Amino acid sequence: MEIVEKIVIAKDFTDALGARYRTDGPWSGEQFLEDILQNKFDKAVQTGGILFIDLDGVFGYPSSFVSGSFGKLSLDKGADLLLKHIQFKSDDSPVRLYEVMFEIKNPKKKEKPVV
Amino acid sequence: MRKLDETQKRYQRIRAKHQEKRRSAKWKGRKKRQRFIVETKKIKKRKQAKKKSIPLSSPTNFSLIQNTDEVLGYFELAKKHLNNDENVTLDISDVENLSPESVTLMVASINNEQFIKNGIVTGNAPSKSKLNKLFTESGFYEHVSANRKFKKDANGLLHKETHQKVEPNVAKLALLRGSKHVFATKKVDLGIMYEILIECMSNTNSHADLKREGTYYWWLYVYNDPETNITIYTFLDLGIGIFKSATVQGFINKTRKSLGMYPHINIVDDLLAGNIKSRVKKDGDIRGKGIPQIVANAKSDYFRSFYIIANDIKINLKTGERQQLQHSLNGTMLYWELEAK
Repeated sequence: MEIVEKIVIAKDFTDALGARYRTDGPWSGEQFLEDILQNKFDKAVQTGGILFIDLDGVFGYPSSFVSGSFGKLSLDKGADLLLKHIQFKSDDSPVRLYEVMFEIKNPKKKEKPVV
Repeated sequence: MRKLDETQKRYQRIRAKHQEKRRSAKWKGRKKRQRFIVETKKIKKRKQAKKKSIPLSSPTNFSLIQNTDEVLGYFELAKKHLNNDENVTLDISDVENLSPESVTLMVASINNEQFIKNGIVTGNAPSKSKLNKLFTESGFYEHVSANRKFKKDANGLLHKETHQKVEPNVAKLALLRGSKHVFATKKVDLGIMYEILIECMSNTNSHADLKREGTYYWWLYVYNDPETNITIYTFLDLGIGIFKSATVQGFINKTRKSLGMYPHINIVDDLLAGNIKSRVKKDGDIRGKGIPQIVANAKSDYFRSFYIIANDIKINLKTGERQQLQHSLNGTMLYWELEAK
């Protein structure tokens, strides 16, 4: 499949990511999902292409941001569809790539044992 | 006579209506009550100021991390006096040891309505020159009424947040200040620390009082130790504390917790593993990953030490050790030391 859409998070969004919701503060996962990720992903799916996402150049990926963007999208569209149409680049840190992939594959956290 | 146009007429109608309202008994009564409240408060404040201040000598080891129970006990005692409409003087002149997290707790407490109530707090600075420098250059005096102004350490950071729950730019600044001190020009990926800072901020609302959403009272202090290449971070949120706000499962446990008969130490493992259900119902299925991320990141070699103190529990995240405290912190504090390995 051919790359039809591209997001460089540090350039197209910010290098200092926030938390989950817009109400939490700036540069949230919700903001990223609604303003950038959702549209580009839909276009990639419609054209049968790949959305290329560059994770480098960002200070860090807070779990609430990842969950509020990639996790939410995975929950809505399904992990298989995301993995088919999204390709990541993370030269700075392979751990980040693993964390984002893990979130896509497991958007829901594990079963909560009774306390 | 000049003829008024429609806008001017509308303006005059509004003004007339307003003036009519001001003549009503209801309006006058309300204003009178408001004036009375303001005057009563002024009188009360004047009376309070005339009261003698109770001197409270701090523990000589004024380090919250090293001497947790004694320092928390000191603040509990001060709060007890203040809540009893008394004034206190926080005397830290004789301290032998003072640490940045204690300075953070002090400045946050003095700025906390629940702590102060109607009382007045006065205080002094440590006599020892090294500790005096730490105290006066921390930025403490920028957050209290003081007669003197002190030069603030330009490389440190003492941030008080009231508006935004999460401030990515403050996290970035805090990271850069510490990184510069610890690693100088060496390029180090401190993503794990950025993530910790954002998760700390992000958690403030969920363990603060849900009835007061929209206001956030968290403090972040970055202290660069001039004698070592260590930077100390203190994140403090005087909400209700993660243990007090945690919800437990089962009717019996819930009843015991509401009666204060369910020891917080019992839920430490579940809380650290993200198994405690959030009080925030939205997206419950995908929430709860923040604290496990902090716990995992705390294991990094970049951190010399890493502690959480919340309510009556102290946890050493490096060793997994936990301690039941005799005195309680009304809130949650995260403390870590960044060093170059």
